[in-house]
Amino acid sequence: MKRISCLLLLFFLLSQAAVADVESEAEEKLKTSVDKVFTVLSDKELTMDQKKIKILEITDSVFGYPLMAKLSLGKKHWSQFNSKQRSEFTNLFTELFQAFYVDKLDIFSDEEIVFHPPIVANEKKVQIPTVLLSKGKKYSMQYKMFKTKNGWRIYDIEIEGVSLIHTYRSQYNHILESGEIEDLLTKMREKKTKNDKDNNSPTESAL
Amino acid sequence: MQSFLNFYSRYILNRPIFVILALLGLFSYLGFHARNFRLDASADSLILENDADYKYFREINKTYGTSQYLLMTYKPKGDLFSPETLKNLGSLRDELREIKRVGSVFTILDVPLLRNPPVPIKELMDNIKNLEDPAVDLQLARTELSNSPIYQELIISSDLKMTALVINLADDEESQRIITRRNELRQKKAGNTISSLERSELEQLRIAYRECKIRLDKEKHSDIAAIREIMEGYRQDAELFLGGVSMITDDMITFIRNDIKVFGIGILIFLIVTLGVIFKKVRWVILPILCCALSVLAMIGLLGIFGWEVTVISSNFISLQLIITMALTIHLIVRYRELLVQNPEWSQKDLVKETVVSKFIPCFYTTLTTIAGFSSLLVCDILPVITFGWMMSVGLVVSLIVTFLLFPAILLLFPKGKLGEHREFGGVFTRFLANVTHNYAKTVFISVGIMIVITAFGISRLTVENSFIDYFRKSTEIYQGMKVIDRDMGGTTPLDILVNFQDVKDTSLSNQDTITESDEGFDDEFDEFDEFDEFEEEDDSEKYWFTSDKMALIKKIHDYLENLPEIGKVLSLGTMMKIAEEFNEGQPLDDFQLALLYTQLPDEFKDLVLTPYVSIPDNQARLTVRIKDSLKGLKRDNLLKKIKSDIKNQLGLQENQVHLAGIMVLYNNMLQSLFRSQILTIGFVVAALMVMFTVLFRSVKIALIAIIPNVLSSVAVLGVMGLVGRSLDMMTITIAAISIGIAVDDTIHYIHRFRDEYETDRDYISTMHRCHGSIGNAMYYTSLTIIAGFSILVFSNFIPTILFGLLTGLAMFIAIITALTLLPLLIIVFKPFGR
Repeated sequence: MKRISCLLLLFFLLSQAAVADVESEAEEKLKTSVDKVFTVLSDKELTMDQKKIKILEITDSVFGYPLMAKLSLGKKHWSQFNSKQRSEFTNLFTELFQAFYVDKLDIFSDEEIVFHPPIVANEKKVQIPTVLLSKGKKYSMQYKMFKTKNGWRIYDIEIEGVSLIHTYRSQYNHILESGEIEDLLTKMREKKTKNDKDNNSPTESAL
Repeated sequence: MQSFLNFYSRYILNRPIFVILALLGLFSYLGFHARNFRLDASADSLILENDADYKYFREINKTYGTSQYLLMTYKPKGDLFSPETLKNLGSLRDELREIKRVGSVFTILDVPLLRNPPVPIKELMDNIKNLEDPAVDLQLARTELSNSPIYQELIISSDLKMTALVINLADDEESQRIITRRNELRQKKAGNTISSLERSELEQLRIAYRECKIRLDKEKHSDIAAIREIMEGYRQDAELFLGGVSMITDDMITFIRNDIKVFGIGILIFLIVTLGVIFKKVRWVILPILCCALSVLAMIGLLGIFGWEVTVISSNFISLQLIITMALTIHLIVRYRELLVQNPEWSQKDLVKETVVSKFIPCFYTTLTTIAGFSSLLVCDILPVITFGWMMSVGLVVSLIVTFLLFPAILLLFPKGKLGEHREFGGVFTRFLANVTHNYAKTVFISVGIMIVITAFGISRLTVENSFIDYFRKSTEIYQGMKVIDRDMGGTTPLDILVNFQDVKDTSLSNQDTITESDEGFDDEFDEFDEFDEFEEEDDSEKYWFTSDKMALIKKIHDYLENLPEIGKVLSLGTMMKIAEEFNEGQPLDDFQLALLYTQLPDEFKDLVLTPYVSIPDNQARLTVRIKDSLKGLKRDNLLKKIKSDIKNQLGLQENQVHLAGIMVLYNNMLQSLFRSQILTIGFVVAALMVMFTVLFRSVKIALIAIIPNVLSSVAVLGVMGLVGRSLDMMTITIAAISIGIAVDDTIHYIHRFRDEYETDRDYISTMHRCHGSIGNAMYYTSLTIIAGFSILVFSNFIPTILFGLLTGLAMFIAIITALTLLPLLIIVFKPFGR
């Protein structure tokens, strides 16, 4: 009995060590990116457009766009896309997501992010809860990360319980359920063209 | 029939005291049950029987909930935003809140002001004020309210001169419980899965619901009275009106009650006067009045026993029954007096016996034909009209029985009348018509021809459009309140537009193998969707229902509806989207913002701005609009069809995605059924009468001669309506069938008498003169009584009732003229009794 207990304890300690490793690696990566973004945001010498370009460079290395694109379609719809459509979809998704993300930066001014202890789902998946402090108010934000070949990547962000990927997912579902794959791609292309036209004021929707 | 008459004379006429006592007992019993007599003016009482739209409407109400509320408009003499007005409004609101069953009162003072002053969205929650906030900027509030997509025309008029208070009435738990359980059991009954225990429970629920409804009506009446009393205290500062379905139904019950009282008493007084003038003898006043009053009492008792509720349509059943009973008794009196003149030596018993025996068959048939007139209403589609048909058919049977029991029984107790004491009243009129028939046959036929042409032209112009507001006199609060709400507060008649979004397609995952296909730039491990089943699990989460595409579509429909001139206030998710856009630099919210808004919205706001407009489990959005009912030239049916087709063709939705529901649809269905109902009822009554006439006179020729003048007189009324531009409504469609049913009585009496008199000298012309001088007078009296009796209905507050009275009077007038000109002329020309 004692032996079993010892084994269990050892297993527990070992797993803790492994988890701690996962935790620190992912958290480290996220923290670094967030710090960099905040540094750029608080740089008064840069214009908003310059800030946006810099921030995109930083975030490109932390967002796992291909996975995000795939998850935003879901298993059922993804399986119906051929490889050409998948590739175009992923590219369009990435561009539209970036436009959406940088558009939201306008509202950030003197915010602060507090990191809470990460929750490890398994050795490849971790959720990092944070709190965004803004004007004395607290907003919960959860970063969801997955370990890829290229290291830890964000695959979703939940703000106040609302998942970014899920909002895309329900929208794409709605379009695909009432139309065809090409309808979705056309809408995304149109949105991208509109964003490109607006240029300086990227629009608010990922479509 | 002979054995029945023998039985009748042996047992009824020989025992007058016994009959009177037995009837007294019966009347006491029925009078006791008369206290259960109830009125109904709910929306249920104004709908089509078996209307599929009504079923749908009830389902929609179940999904989105219904709340009973009253709307009070408040137009101050001074500025709406002056401190004094706002103070008055506040105290009015507080007084209303004190009323026991008032759940809440929502006023301009309570609405959250979101741009006072305008702040970035991040600071919004700390910045919400209302008009009572000491820090509020009134100028900014004025601007915000005048531009608000939600408040404008809901609680403030667009010129900012009038506001509305929404008085929400608390739900009654008992009635909710009964309705829910009753609906469950009804469904089981419809599906034939109901047990016998549940069947008896359903019956108990029916009784419980009735009792509960009586209690609720009483409570509602006292609440509305209390609200009106409070309103009185504010009339020196402002112009106030009360509106809302609850008030309309309560006021309509008051109207019906008032109508019943006025018509009942008015017609009784009128009958006393008329009988006095015609017969100039107390007994000929007392006797008919007793027959009439007791027939009505018996009928009210029966209504109480059967639980039949009187609606606005059947509210004149008392007057109708009084008039018809009176016509029966007049025929008996005239016959008695004739017999007395012809046989002065006969005893009272012989006179009475001969009177009732000789009159029983024609009266039986006239009652049957009148019943045919009323029962034709059963074939139409409108529930209260059907109930009215039943009610009157039973009422007529009651009248016939009461008259033929009570009249002879009481008359037998009176001494025999004196000879020569009466002079025929109205003889000049009938003599004149006899001369016209005799000497101006061509003129009569030409006049009838012209009448037919004019009638046909008038009928071709008949419409069914009528505004609910126009049902009421301009002096009534219903009219004034609805007019103000219709004009300044976004319309009155509610219409719901339900938009169903596409359901999930059942797509198989047969080509799942493609998932494992490796694509450029993808890591193999990403192909494992199973790692991310958190998304699959949350797919049904309500917060992700709100996508920008759906919102854009709703907004498109919202804007389309708002731009229709017939439509006043539109409320939908689109309203909220418009408010949200104001905080998003005029841009529509994206999917993420929508989901975030849903999660962040406090529950009380969700109840206010989401629950009435979306049903996520049904994947359905609801847009509620109010139609400007008093708009000139409003074509309801066209409007509904246009909305459906435009949503399909211009906005690109599929037909099965859009449903229209609500009072507007039900009301339009009722209006559209009017033509059909009118044709059906006239067709039914003519066919039924043809059969009856053929049986009665054993001649198709006589049947045709008898029916023509009657059809002409009632159809002429429709022609007149078309000519003067009056639309058909649920009350006026009953006129044609009813007036045929009543007018035909005269025809039967006339032909019956003509046949008998013809045997005397087999000369058509002299028979005609004799008939005009005898039965013609009885016909003249009864018609006069009926016309004058119906004219009392003009004292109603309900315009269709007034029209019913006037037009039925007109039909009866035309009927008596044709019965004493065209009818004898047709008899003389076609000689149905031989040469």
